[in-house]
Parts: sequence; structure tokens; C-alpha cells
Amino acid sequence: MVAVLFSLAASGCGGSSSSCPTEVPPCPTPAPSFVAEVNPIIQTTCVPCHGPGGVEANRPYVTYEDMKVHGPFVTMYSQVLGCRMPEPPQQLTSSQRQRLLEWFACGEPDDRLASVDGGTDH
Amino acid sequence: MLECLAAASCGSSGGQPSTADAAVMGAEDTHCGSGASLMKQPVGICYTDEAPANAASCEVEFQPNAAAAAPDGGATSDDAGAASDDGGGSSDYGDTLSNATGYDDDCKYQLSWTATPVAVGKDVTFTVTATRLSDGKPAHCAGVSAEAFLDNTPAVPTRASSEMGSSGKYAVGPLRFPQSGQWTVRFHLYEECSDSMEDSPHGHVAFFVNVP
Repeated sequence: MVAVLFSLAASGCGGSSSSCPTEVPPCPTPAPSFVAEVNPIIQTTCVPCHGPGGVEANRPYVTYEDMKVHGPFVTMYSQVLGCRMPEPPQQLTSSQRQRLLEWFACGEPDDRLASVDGGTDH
Repeated sequence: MLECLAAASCGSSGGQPSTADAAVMGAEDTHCGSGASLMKQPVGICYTDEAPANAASCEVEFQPNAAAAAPDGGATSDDAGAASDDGGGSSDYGDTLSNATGYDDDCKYQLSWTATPVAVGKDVTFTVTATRLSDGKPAHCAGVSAEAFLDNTPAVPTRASSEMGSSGKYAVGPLRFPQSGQWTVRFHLYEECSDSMEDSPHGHVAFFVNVP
């Protein structure tokens, strides 16, 4: 139980910088998939605010192109790295935060076309 | 600590570059105009669900986010304009500025900064002074935070900030730069305030910082 509570605390930002990464992670091989891994996290945790009707709707993250223009990516990267985003009540688990950071570190690869062609998507 | 902060504005210290070296000198910031034609945008209501405990003394009106959804909740920000993917230097956040003083993208604040000696791998603390343009008062309770980028890679940002009294002067950091280069350091003010209203207290100013 204690371990579960610790895990939950570590996954959110909640003002505790000690649970945040202390350095920029490297790009893994293979890079995280935007379609299968990254976009579902963004749609769940970012778009409620950065989407229609959200308090940051003027800075939308609904599509890849939205993020590229309105993020921009490096700002999103920094905000996630510093546990400044997402803000409560949205939360990222440690593994979600890690995968997002790895995707940013890889240069935000866009695998949507590959997925349509029968690549990485299910 | 005080000695450390004081050293930031006193030129080189112990052979380490300080503000005079770290600021990238260039043309004066005139994106808000200058002199008698200086644009001075007023600061409006802060919509947030995280108002500071000392909100009553901040000279900023705080209201819950839900109030912003009301039909007369205010003008929507045009911050969402065209942007470029240039490594954080421009886009919705405004251009990155040279020198050590300038205005935020919406012309609500003037910011100036000094820094402790800047070097790769060293903790750098910035002293940031923020003044409201509309009335010349200190930007009190702004909770100034900082993030930094080099090309498309960020340094680990900091939210650690303490205001010196109610002076609008903040010690921000530390930030640690992992490599040398011309970094962009962006300071955020009133980050807890929703940025969707044009007159939101939320503001940001970015400066080039040289890391030798």
C-alpha cells in the first residue's frame, strides 16, 4: 500500500520537484510511436485543457500540427520535463512522462503515415 | 546566498562570466514601442484554481477558472497566432530578446535580469525584476519561473522562486545548463493564471543567454 501511494505521488507533479526527472533522457531505439503511445497520452492528459472548451483552448494540442505550431514542441518538452505540465487534476504516470520525454528527445517522430500503411499501429 | 546574488550584478567574479558576459548584446527591445509611444497593456483578472494564500495583498484580482467561462469572461487572447518552430525562441510566446531588459510579448511588464556566474554544469540563479507597465508598480506575487532551451533541447526548468518582500524582485533558480551555447531563457509570470484571456496577468519574456 505504501509503495502504491509512493508510486502515485511520484507520478504527479503536485509541487514536489523531487519526483521529476533531473536530466534529459536520451532517445531510445526504437523511438516511441506517436500513434500508439504518445498521442493517446496527449489526448487524455493535455487536450482537456489544450482543446475545445479548455482553459488553454487558445493553445490547442489536438493534432500533431497543433502541437508543432502552438506548443511549440520544445516548450512542451520543457514543461513535461519540469513536471509543470500537466496541471492537476490531470496527471502523468512516471512511465508516461518518460515515454513523452523520450519522444521529444527523438525529435518528435511522426509515424502516422507508417501506421496507415500498416506499420506500427494495431 | 546574498553575496552570491550580489555578485551577479558586479561583473566577473572569480574568473566566471556573469551578467555582463551572459547577456547577448543587441538592439534594444522596441516591440512595445518606446518613449512616449510605449504600449502599456493593463493587467486584468487572473483566472486560476490555485490563487496564492496572500492573494489579497497581490494587487491582482483572482477568480476561479469557472468564472472565465461566463459569457462576459473577457476577451480571448490572440496569443494563438501564427508561430514558427524555431526551438522555442518565438511562436506564441513572443520573440527572444537580446540584452538584460525587455518587455513581455503582450506589453504588460518590463523585466530585467541579472545572474550569478554562468557556466556549464553550474547552478545559476537569476534575479529578475518585474514591473507592470500600466501603473509602474512591482509585479507582486508573480511567482516567476524559468525554462531554458538550446536549439530543440531544454535544460531541466525550475519553478523555484522567491520574491524579495513585495518588490517585484525575484530570485529564480537554480537552472543548470548542460552545454555551452546561446541559450534561450524564458521567464514566466503568474503562470497559474489561464493565458486564454488577452489581459491575463500570465506573461512571459525570453532572453538569449550566453553559456561559455
